[in-house]
Amino acid sequence: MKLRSSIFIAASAIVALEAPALAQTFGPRDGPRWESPQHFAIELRIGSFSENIDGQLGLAGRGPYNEIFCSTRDPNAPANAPVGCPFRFRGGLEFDWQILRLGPVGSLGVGAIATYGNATARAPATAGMSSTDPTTWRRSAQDTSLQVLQSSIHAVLRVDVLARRIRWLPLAPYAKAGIALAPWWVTSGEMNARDPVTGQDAVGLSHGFFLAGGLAVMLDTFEPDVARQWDQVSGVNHSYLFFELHYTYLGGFTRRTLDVGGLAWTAGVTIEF
Amino acid sequence: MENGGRILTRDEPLGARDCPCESWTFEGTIMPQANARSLEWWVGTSATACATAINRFPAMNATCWPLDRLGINATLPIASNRFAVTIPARWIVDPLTQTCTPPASISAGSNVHVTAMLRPPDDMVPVGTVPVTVSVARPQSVQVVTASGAESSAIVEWQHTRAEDGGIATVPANTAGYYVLCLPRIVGYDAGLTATACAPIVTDSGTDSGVVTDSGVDPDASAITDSGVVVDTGVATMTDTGTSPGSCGSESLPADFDPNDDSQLGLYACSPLLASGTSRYTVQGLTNGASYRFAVVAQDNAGSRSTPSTFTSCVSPEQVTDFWERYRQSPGMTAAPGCSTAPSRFARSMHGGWIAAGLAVAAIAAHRINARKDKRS
Repeated sequence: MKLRSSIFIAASAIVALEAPALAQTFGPRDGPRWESPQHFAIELRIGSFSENIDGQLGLAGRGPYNEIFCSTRDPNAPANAPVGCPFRFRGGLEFDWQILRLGPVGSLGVGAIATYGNATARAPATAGMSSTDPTTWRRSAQDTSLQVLQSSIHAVLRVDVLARRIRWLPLAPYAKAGIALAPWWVTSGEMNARDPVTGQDAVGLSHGFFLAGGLAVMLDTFEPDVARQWDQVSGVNHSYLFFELHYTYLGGFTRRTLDVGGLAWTAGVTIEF
Repeated sequence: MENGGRILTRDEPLGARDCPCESWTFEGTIMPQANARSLEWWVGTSATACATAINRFPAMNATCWPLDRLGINATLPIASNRFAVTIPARWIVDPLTQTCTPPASISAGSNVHVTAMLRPPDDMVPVGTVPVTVSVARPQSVQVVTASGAESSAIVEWQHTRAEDGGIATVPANTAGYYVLCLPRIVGYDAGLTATACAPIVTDSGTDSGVVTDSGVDPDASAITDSGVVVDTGVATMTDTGTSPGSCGSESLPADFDPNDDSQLGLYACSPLLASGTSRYTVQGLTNGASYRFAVVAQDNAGSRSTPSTFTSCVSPEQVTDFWERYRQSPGMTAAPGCSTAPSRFARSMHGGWIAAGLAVAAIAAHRINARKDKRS
């Protein structure tokens, strides 16, 4: 845990300390003369659904998440599909405000992400759970699911100097760090699940932090004329395909919250305008 | 020769559900005609069918049938140029026997034409005609219904595809929705079906002496005047045949069950009208451990309902363990996250997140201040 905290602090500190220096070294704009002003970015994101619920309980690989969601077939999978943890997607959007242009190096800004993902499986019949092996539990026809709306507010540093200056190397690495929030709710059938002790709906809000690093491929390189026209017509400066690894801790800062974060990957499309 | 009057058009189709109980009111105008003796109502297979005497009943192969013999003419204010007449739907669909079975010449989904005609001394003069779409044919039944038990509920799934597509492709056209039926029925469930006063028409056997006295069984307790045909205004009642849970398989729908009768369907429906395209419904309010069977009735846009599908085999709701229950059963889980006062693992290590976030915000703010200073200088 100390390592995780240290990484986050270090990343934030680097961003914080480097930004003023770079901004003072280079001018406010570094694009070609024909390029329109650039202030924002939008990302369409799709990636893997992750959680650290069992790990938070000290039951990694054998906790309730694994028992319910990873020890049966996906409800929509064919009957002969193997029992296991099906791959689950998460999708969403990111909006960035590129506050500072760091000369030719890149940009520094703030952004917000909102993504949705869920894990769904047939709930086991209580009478059919006598075995300690959850793969042998008899499943009912009723679904149970964990639904997570994960969001973050973060700083983002995009280094696009290579993509802008070296035509055969259209790569733009980037890093993000910030605060993460995740409303979540558990359903049983078509209704919210209820806490067996309190009787309240099984809903909550988890919080923590978010770290991400990724690599984007600038698409302008492949069709520069099209990119130029697109900028002149619609104000879109650049477009990218990206791949990102991110770690989200959602176990709470001061009190424990359901850790619906974890290490995950995301890919998608970025448009700067 | 025409009278010059007209009847206001009705757009909605007349379905099988309308046929036994509903009455339709037609409004129109009529030009006063001094020598007219009566205004008569006929039903024809086309707009002009009733205009020609050889098409009118009792001619062979008639395509126009009279409604006047049913006594409705007595209510018509023919002295005025405006009139309104209420005609039982079953008379329109089936003017001869009123059994909601249209004559062969009126095919399902076709238009019939309600025609008002003045009867002068010599021949009848059409006043106006209005088309009514008769759609009393029952829609295609739902083919495959399966059910499985869940917690205090059962999940019913079905397929309803056009027979001509071999059960592969689309839902039959004009499907408006579905009702799920439960056996044993769910006592007290309100499917939103309003029971309507509906009773079969009692035809005059010709043996009465002109006045039928009220035998006391009709709710209104009023005398019924014989006008050639006696209309029974008694409200049909259904006996609750629901049985206690656990007797699955021992109960079936009544032999004369008519899904087009709201009062009957309302007894066994355990869902509201589900939208077309629905193929799965969770029946709530069942008892864990009891056994139930389910069937589905389709309804088309005209309100006509199919015969019930084959009932499923018996299924029993049972207790399930959802993710949250399992999570709360986990070792060390004494309070739900969010309610716990225990410090998080992160908090036990350090409050690094807040510190780092503060650093990031402070750095951005500092840079903006520096940038403004540079501009001024």
